[in-house]
Amino acid sequence: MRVASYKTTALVSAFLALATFGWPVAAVHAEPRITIEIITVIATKGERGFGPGLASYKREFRRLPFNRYELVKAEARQLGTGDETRILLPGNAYLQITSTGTATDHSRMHALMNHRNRPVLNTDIRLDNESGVVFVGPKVERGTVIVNIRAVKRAAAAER
Amino acid sequence: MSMDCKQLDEKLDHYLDGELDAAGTEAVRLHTASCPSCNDTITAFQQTRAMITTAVADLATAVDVSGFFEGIENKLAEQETRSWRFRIGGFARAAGREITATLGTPVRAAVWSGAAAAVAVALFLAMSGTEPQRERLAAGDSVRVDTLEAGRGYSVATWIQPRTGTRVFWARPNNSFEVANASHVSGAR
Repeated sequence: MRVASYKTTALVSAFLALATFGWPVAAVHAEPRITIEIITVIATKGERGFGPGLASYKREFRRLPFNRYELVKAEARQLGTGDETRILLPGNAYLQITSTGTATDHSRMHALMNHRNRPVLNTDIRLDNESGVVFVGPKVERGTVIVNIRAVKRAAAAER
Repeated sequence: MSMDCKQLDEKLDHYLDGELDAAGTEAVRLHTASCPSCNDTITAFQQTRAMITTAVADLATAVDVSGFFEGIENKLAEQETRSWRFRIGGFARAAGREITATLGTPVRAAVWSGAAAAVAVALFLAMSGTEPQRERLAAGDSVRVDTLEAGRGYSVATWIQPRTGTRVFWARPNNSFEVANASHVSGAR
C-alpha cells in the first residue's frame, strides 16, 4: 500500500514537472513554417512594359534582358520542414519546392525545375526572411518562364 | 538642376534604361561626378547589365561554391546541437536513476528528478540559443546556394542582382547561354 502511494506521488510529480517545463519548451521550439509568395511570369522581348499585378516586381525584373513581363499567376504557400509543393508552369513544366529546414530568420529549401519530364535545375538554397530568388527558364511557346519566390514571413505551427 | 542621393536612387532605373530627359541625365552625371558612392552604384548596375547581355564564347563549367563551406559548417553545427540535446536528455535520465538509487525514497527522488529536469531544460535552452550565432549571415548575403546542379543538356547560371539582393538562377539549353561572368554549372548532354 505504501509502495503504491509512493508510485502515485512519483507519477504526479513527473506530470507536474512535464507540465511546468515540458510544454513551454514544446511551445518555444514549435516547428516554424515559412510562407512563400510565388509569382509566375512570362517574359518576352516584345513591347516594353509590365503587365497588371507586376508593379511591385519591377526592380526584380528590370535587370533581366527581356522587355515585356506578363503575370501568369500569383500564389502563396506555407511550408514546414519536409513539406513539398509543386508549382505548375506553362509549357508542361513545374518547379518543385521542398522545405528542408526553417529557423526564425531563414529557411532552407530544395528546388527542382522540371520541363517535359526532364530535370532542368536542381539546387539547395538558404533564404533569409523577406528575401527572394528568381528562376528563369524554360523557354516555352509564349516566351520565357520566370518564377519569383519570396520568403515573406515566418509563421509558428500554432498559427496553422 | 541639382540632385541628391535619394533623388538619384529614385531615378536610377530610368537613367539606366535611358529614359531620362537631357536635363535629368545631366543632373545624374553632375551628382555622380561628386558622389563616389552613387558613382559606384551606377557602375555596378552597368556591369550587371553587361554581364547578362554579353555572349560567352566558352561555356564555363565552374561551379558556384560560395555557399559550399558554409553549408558544411551549418550541417556540422546542426549535428553538434542535436548531439548536445541527446547528451542533456541522457544526463537527466541518468541523474534520475542515480538519485533514486542514492536517496531511496521515491518522493524525494521525484523532487530531485524534477530539479534535474529543470537543469536539463535550462541547459537545453542555453545550447539552443547558441545556434543562431553560428548561422548569422553577413549583411546583404540574404540568399545562399548550398548545391547547384544542371539537368542533362542544360546549363544554369546564377548571380545576385546588386540592388535587390535577389538571387537569379537561369537555366537554358547548353551552348545557348548569353550570360557571362556568372557562376555556371553545365549538365552533360
